[in-house]
Amino acid sequence: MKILISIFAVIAWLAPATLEAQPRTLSTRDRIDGERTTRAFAEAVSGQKQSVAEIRRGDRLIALATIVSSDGLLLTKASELTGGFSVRLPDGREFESPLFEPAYGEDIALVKVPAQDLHPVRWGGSTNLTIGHWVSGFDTELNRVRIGIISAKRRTFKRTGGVMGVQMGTDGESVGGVEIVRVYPGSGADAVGIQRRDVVVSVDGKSVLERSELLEAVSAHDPGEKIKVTLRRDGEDIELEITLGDRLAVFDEFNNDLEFSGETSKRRSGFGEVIQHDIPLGSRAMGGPLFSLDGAVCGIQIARFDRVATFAIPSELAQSIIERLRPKLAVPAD
Amino acid sequence: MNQNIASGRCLLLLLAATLAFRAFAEDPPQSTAADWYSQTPETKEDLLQIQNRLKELLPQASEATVAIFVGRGAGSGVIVSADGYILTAGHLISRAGESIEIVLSNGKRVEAKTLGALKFTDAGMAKIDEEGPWPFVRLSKSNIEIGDWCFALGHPGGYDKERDVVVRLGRVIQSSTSRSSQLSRSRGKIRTDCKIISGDSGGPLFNLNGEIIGIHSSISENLNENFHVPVEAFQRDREKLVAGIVFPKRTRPAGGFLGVHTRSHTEGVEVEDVVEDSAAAESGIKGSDIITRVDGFPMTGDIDEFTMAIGSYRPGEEIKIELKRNGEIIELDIKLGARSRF
Repeated sequence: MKILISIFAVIAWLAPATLEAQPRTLSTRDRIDGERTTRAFAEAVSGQKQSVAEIRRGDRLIALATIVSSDGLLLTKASELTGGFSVRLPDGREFESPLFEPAYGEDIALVKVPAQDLHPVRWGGSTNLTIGHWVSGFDTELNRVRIGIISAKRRTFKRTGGVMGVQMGTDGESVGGVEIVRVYPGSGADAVGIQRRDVVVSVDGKSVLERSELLEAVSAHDPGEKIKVTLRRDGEDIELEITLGDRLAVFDEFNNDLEFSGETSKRRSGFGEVIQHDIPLGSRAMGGPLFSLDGAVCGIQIARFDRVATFAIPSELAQSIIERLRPKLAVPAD
Repeated sequence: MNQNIASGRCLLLLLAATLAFRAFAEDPPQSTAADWYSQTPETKEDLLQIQNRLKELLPQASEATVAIFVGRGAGSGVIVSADGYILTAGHLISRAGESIEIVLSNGKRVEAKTLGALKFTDAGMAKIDEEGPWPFVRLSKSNIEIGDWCFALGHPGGYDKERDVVVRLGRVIQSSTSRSSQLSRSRGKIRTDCKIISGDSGGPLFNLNGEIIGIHSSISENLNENFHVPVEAFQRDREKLVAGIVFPKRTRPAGGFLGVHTRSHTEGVEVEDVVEDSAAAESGIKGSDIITRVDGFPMTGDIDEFTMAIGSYRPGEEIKIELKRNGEIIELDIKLGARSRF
């Protein structure tokens, strides 16, 4: 023990003399997210760049879209589309308010733009990709490929309904609705100015008298969706439109994880089956393709979850959604 | 009386430790580090080499990685001996002998007890109650080099049965043996771009030999900058950790003030002078005294370590200071004062 201690002492004592040396670190180009490292991967997927479009609102990028047919069909993240959007193709053409059909269960939408001769993605299977396999995705904002690995078991990611971001008062008070006793900062309710002591009278035109009724009405919707709420404040009825938030994100007071995660997706659950990976992609890169090492599309990016996780839905599921939604988008013949 | 019970327990733990560390300290089979272990891949084949190695190592590495429930918190850990010794992060442990729950990767839940935690290095240990044998992995004995490929395992965000262990791949950005980080044990962490988050705390960082090189400790706002306690911190202090020493008391400064100016000494920290009317002055500490222990914990001569140790106590709390004066050992019980705000 004594020898051990004196060794420490000597190390600590000698150390200041060597302090002046600059700490040597790995060049950012050589880190896992660095340009040199991604180059080996980029070759495989560079040809696929022409299959990735942008979903924009005004001059803002809100998501990516994966081109799935030469005649203008694209897949993207459905919950990002509320509020109007345009599609900008890789060749620069832009289409305002195109037709789209959502599959809310998986949070995927099939979009149709009136364009021909597009370059659809090359699909590959996802079932042979397991934990530890390299994958990559596009970041159009940085105009580069970013890489990572499949980081957890493939699984079903259960749905958790959206939340307004309020705490409800106890039942049994004759206020004719459900009283709000607290509004969570940063929530959808906060954003539209809902206050403590407001009474929720109805949701989407249906009256709510008990907590359970309000809960049911709200959680039937997914995070990112909008609901119409009628409030009674000082005897007056006010109608508001609230964008619902993700339960974890809104109520996550004791957890500063999200603070260290950058921008995460508003809807982060309930996509059916998901592939989890560790590619550092922002929430605006959702809807884009997930590539395997051979450059084929093995999934569609569906949610930036937190600092360590992004989810994609498997290519097989994505392709089945296309088949399901395609007939609904068929333009009736004149 | 209490102290006797405490030291009795320590002895037992030490005895158990001698057996346990056979596995822990045993020389691993000679590992051969291929060039590509620390090179930037240039081709698809290079990428495949890394992928195949990772996939080869994952089953055993995952099997030894555990989720830990401590009070209201959750973290991760890794089993390093057949009889169930676990390395984890020091900040998950507040006292030794506390019952905690461990979840193995097959979903099996077992009881464990916390051992020591050294808050300077963020090294912590626990041991599974049941005898085992448990699946375990070895500690690396080779030097960590900048650029080494590595992978992080853990339970980010807490245990999730459907999801289980999560793996993240990255490289060593700065190794703990970097000269700048050798100054103080509190600063000697491995920096990697393996993305980790809370819940990963205490989980293992592996090299491509499948050996543990670090334990997840902290993160920065940049998601490519993450910090891990190097395994040397565990090897260096393993007796203290196994003996259940938790030191210093708190991770954050609590305002305790002794009132000495010190400099580094081979046997501890040497008092240069004493602040007037301070707790040190009142208890008779003098210039040239060499402070060798704080509450029984040996001082290495690292001034930062000593300052952190004292500062982790609250004003008014009593501590035991052992010092050497003219070759004679003196023990003092001192009630700490408060650090002036000005």
